[in-house]
Amino acid sequence: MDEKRQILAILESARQSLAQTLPDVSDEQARATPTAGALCLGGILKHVTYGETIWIDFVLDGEKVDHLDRYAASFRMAPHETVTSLLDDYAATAKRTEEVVAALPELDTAHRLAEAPWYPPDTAWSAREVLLHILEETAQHAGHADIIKESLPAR
Amino acid sequence: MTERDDLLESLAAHRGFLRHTVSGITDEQARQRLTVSELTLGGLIKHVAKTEKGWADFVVDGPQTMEMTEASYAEHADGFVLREDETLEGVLAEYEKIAQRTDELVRTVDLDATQPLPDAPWFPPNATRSARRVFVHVVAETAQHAGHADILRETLDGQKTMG
Repeated sequence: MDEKRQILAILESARQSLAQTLPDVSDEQARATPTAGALCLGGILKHVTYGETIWIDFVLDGEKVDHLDRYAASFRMAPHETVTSLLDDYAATAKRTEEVVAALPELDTAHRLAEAPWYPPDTAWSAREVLLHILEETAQHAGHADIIKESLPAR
Repeated sequence: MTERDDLLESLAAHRGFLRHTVSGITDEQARQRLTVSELTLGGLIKHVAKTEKGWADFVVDGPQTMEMTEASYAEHADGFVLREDETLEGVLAEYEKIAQRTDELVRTVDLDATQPLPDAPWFPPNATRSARRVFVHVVAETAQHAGHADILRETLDGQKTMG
């Protein structure tokens, strides 16, 4: 198995670990914030979907556009959103990532990150670094989701 | 940056996030159950350190390092608990030693070299794992447990890690 397939396999298990917290919760439970923090299950899934989308845009376009309003909104489920619609969006995003990465000739090509207070100056990220970053974000948020799911009032 | 540098940086970043969740807390707080979950902050550090060591052993010595016996099951459960005869400082020091050894492996081993996974119901039959895949898996495992620890710490005193 080549490096790309190995990283994608681990990313897929992290996605499943996150997504499996959702199918058996109601839309109302997906909006609930049962821990000390402000996170809800639906918001986590939406946020991770958003992050994966813009990072893959960066791999494709060499430019990462931080939409601060979309970023903030990504932690909350909008009134029209449902667990099903969020899971569908997530699956579509994953499929796109798999296709984009499969088509990359290698993972070493790096693009500069835009100047922003949250990145070190003059930083360039390769596709490998982006994929590792998506994996890390997904896994860490899956950890949040585990505890939030466990903290939901008895279902 | 080379692939090895990327792996070292990812490992360091997520070990750092996890360590951050126990900064400034007492041993008693590290043993405290904070949510409905049975997980504790001290137990998480111990478990993640042990898991990292297990995978590093696998890279070097193969599947016999992972064989499950009655004793190793008991040890697995104990791995989630900071015992009364243990301290947070002690498990953090042990974690640091384990991390240094893993990092040395990341710098030196052939990342494509594979080892067969042991026969276990939670692994696919006849599967192998490359050193690369093991190290990336350790990153994911550390990050997910750091996520658990984030919520526990936020429950304890409101300290946040991610935005």
